[in-house]
Amino acid sequence: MATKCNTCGGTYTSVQPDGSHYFHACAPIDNPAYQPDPKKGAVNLQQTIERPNKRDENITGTDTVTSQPVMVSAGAGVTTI
Amino acid sequence: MATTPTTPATSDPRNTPIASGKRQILITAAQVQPPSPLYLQPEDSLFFGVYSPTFAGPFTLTLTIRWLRPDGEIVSVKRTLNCALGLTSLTFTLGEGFMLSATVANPNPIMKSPGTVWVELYVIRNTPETPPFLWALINDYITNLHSPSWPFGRITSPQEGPGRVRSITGTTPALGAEISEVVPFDVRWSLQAFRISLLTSAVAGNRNIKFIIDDGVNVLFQCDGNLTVTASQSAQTTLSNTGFINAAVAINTGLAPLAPMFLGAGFRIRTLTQGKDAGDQYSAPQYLVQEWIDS
Repeated sequence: MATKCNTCGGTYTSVQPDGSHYFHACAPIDNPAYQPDPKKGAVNLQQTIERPNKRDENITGTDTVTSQPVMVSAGAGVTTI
Repeated sequence: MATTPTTPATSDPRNTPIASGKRQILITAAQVQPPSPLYLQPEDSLFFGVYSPTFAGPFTLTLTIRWLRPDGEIVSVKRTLNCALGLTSLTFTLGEGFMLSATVANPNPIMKSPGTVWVELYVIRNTPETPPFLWALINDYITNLHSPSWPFGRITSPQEGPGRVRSITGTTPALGAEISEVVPFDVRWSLQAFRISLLTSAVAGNRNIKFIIDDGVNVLFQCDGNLTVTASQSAQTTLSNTGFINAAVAINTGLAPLAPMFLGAGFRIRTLTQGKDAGDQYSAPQYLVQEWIDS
């Protein structure tokens, strides 16, 4: 059973065949303000920026009430496909 | 009338007289003292912890203790822990007595490699003047064929020794998007190979694939593949430490050099494609890492 990230549209399988959990995190996107040429004005060397409302399933700790793992950011959620 | 000579007794360590001098060390056969250095009181507890940052589970581990009671009886004490992703722990008290041994057993056949599941056993006592963890008895990885035990086991750190070999299938990005894979929380990777496939659209133009490794924010490694991908192609490029090949070794197959390095939690391996078209499609990357718990 695969999962689709509602933020970036990426698809993945949460549990790998070897029993490991897979932690999806949205990829960065192109920086529209990227401008490496000093002759053209304000330089912006950051080629990519973080995707707005990105999802990052990596665990930052455990919820003190539910004892469940807490992910970095849920983004727009996921859809099971 | 002749008599038959007496047959001498056969040599046996149990009935052979000691021909040399008296032993200097005497062994006590009564009122024997307990053999273990670990005398526990009712105020002492045992903390049994299992940590699995990436192995999804659920799985069950068993801690078995040989416990010498004050009345001289040795009993077996068994505690079972149902584990899942993250930290699972159990704290319990056995009362007064002597701990002779402790062993963690793993009936889960899928847990084959070190680097997967970490087990620890501590003697703890809640006192205001000291931290509760008084003595580490077990600190080790557990596998199908390795049962961490006390007292003749080893105390190690999770970054030591061979790690877990993992072949990971990553995320298939949306159309026109780049690949990005992140090292999970509390894990360290040694990246061995990272293979991607790119199906380009019919829009004319050269696509050049760059591989980037960053620490989550700052780029610390960047290299180009040797393959230029044109329109309507299916190309495979591998980031690996096998060296650089200056030309495509086969049609639409490229290589990019990878320096040997460890990647910490939050580090990313990603692509940056020059000349990318919105209709270009990456498939899910397949990559090989060696993994350790890094907590």
